[in-house]
Amino acid sequence: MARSHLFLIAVLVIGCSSARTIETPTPPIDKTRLSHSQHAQIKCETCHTMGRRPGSDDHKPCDGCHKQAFLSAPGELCKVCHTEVSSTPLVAPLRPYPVEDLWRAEPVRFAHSVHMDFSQMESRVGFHVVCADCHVRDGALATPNHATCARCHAPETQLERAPTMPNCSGCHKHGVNQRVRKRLIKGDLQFDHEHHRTDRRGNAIRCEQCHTQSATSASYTDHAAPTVERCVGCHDDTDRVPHELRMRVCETCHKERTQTLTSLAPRNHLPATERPLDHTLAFRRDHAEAAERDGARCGACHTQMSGNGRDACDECHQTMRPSDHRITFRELDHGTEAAADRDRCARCHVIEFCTACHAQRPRSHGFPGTFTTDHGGMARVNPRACMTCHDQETLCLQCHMLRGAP
Amino acid sequence: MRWLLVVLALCATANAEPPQLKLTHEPPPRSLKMRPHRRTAAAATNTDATAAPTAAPEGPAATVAASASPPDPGDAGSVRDLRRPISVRFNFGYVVDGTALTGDPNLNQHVVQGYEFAQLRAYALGEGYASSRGVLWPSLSTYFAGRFQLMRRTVSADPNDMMGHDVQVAPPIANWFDRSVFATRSGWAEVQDFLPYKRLAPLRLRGGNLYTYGPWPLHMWGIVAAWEGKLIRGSIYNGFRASDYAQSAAVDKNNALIAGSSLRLDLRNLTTPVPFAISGEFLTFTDVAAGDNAGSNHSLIQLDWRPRKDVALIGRVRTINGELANEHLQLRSRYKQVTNFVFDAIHRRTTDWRWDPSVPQTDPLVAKRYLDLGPVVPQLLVSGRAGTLIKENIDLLLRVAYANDLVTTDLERSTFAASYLEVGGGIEGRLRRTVGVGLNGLSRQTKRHGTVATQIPDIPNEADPLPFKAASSLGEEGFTELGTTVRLSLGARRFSAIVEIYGRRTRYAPVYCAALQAGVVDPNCMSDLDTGIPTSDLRGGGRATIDAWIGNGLRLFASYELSSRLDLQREIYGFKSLRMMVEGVY
Repeated sequence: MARSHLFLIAVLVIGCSSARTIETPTPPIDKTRLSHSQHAQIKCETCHTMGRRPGSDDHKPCDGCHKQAFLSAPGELCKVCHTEVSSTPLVAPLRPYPVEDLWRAEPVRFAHSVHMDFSQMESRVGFHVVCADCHVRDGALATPNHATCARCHAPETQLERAPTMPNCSGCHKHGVNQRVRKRLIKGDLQFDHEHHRTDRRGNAIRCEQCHTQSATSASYTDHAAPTVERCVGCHDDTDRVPHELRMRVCETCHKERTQTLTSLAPRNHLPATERPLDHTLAFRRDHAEAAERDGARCGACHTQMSGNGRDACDECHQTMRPSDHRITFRELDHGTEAAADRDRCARCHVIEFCTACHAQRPRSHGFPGTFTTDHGGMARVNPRACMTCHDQETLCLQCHMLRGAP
Repeated sequence: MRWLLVVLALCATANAEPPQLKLTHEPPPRSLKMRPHRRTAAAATNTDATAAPTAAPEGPAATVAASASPPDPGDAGSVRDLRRPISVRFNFGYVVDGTALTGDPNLNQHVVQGYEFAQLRAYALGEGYASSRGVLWPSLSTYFAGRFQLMRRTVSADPNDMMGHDVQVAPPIANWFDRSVFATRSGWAEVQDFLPYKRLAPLRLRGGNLYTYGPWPLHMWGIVAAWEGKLIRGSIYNGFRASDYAQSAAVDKNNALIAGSSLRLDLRNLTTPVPFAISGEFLTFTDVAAGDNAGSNHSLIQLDWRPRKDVALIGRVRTINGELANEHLQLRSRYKQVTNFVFDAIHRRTTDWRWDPSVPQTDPLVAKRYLDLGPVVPQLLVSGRAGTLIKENIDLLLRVAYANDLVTTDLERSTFAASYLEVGGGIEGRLRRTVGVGLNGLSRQTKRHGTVATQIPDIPNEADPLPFKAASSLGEEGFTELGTTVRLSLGARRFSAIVEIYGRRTRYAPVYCAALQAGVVDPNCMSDLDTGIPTSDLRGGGRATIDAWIGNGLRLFASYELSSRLDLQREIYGFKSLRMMVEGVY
């Protein structure tokens, strides 16, 4: 009993443990890179003044602590910012800033869902913003920077219920985070937002047509990239895209085209009128959960369905035949299947279906009155076929003996 | 000296840094605080559809407007707009089933004559579906599905009847329906979120001819009241069981009174999520059919543990009349939409149902007329299925199943619940953008417990003794099936064509042995002698389907299916069937 209790407790502990969040791993040790964790006791704004690279003001404020290093011969510390330092001639080219690698201080607390919820924004700060307010700079699309945020979050704007720029922790967590790059455009893909402002007919292409999940992403890390399916919607519609830019023209997006089997357009490159990506061979067998989760989705293509998301299994299962229900299934194969997995039959059929057919005289029995004395040749191949319908005691034993009866 | 100090002070001021009058950040955009409220924006867009933005990328302000616009072609909704208030679909079809006599004698050495069965059978059929959303009342949705069949009975003149009266004969391919009839599949109305109180929004009522999904799917005339909150989902239902398959006169009238309920507690939706969901289903009904089966009570308890989003371990137990009947454990996992793995372990007990879930007939001697599946044998069924999509083009599926009858003696075993091992799989890939080719295979090897001692001596011209009822030595020993499919698809509601070819070899357990040797009958016959009785059957078949749409509202469908000659039915050339349908969709 005690053992079973221990087991139950262990199961519960393991089960509940999944609710923990996974800690971000610390970045690898790199002496040529500034460690935020070693500067944790210094206020962010001591180094990060608006729009300026830390140390760009004659090494301030770094020289406050590292003065000795700056007065000595060029060493490891210099490599944090410079690619090299030489005194003759005096050159000290800078490394790119900010560092474009996996580790940086992402604004992990930033939530698109907060900024794109018009009602909430209006009730909290009195206005709302749209994509272009942050993502357009100097008339062109650009990644928002601190200056962009400061337009609203600067202390001067006096937004009462929003974090202000000096409060770094309003957006950033302490330290650096592993950069989460969820990008669609990678590898040999080429894409230009400028070419996607309007479609072929001059109608505007709205941001959310491609960035479908942006408005609902609750944190910086769960912000999903657009999917290829969004591209297909337009690029397979000649009303919106010219022929030479359709999905079948790989060069529209790909700089290189490999001539292998995998160079076939993947399934997600096919129009939505094709089978969805997840409708695999395995899905045909195990789709109950997907149908229960989003029943209405089934009805979009399977037009015999109501489109109602609840209790809709019968709308398909009562009308569509499984692929193994072939022309020989009724006469020859269904018994084997029913014996192997009768649960499968019961998903669509009830006993009336079986008895309705079993009550009819089979073709093999010929004209009434002829089969009783003339069935041995068939019966000997598979006597079970007889016994499925006929009760041995009342029919067969009228002529046959019973062998092996207890 | 004082003047000197004043001059110095003034000069010092002149040398000071100029005041920083410029903001170091960009000013707020002029549009901020000037954007209209969402509702105003929506109203404005609705009143002037031409005022759509033409160049600048817009944000969610346009989302509201988009809700009134046609679905994006990137969505499946472009195939059918589910927001349309009324959807209607109807089809009419004509089916011809047929076969032809070869003139060869059948296995009984009987030369079948043309009048003994119908070599051709034709019937008309049709289906109709209609659904509505928000018509008459915003909270109301309805669904209707029905079908009809028009057919002539297959009759033939009785050669033994001097008056030449017709007798009903078998159709070329067995069919379960034998009369013309119209039948309703479903017809219900549902209201949801219909009360003025926000707290009652999860309440849903559905009534009519409908299916419910309790311990098993159930068709009934009745009403379902469901509460579908995030944390708690529950339902109660009550009604009369609806009779399916009314196209056959042999079907029992099945109007059992039904009452059931379900409750699901999903702890994943707690503020602090716990990855468990517990649910229970309860069902009770009265007699299924006169004298057939007493009323029964069914229940199902399920525990669903989902440690990760795409991993689920589900355990469920089902009881019938208070006795444990079935236990089921399922592990399900998914990776990136297209990689799936499912493992099932099912344990059936002798108390489980026999013919269908509503018939928990426990008396093994009571056979249902013309369908006796023997007593329920305890069985363990373990199966696994795994599938993935490689490079988004090559679709793979592998499945393995093993069933073991949990009995020890041959007398307890049943041919209808024999142990077996099954291995199957499929692969499907696209050769071109619109052309796909698939291969599939399935093999099931069944364990038969036949021995030489249980074999029946085949004595010519005598009624041989028979094995004991449903002995496990009877039946198929296994089959292997291979098939290929070529598919051309231009997309949903456009054009598709499928050609499928398959072959199947079935082996039967040799039950008889040759008792006649050199003209002498030896009851202790040798099993290795050829009895002349076929023990295997090799056959094939194919199916070609064309599905073409004219516009978005008219569909033409044709399917032709045929089989090869059948080794065990030498009197006919095999089956063939032509099905043609025309369908209208609104």
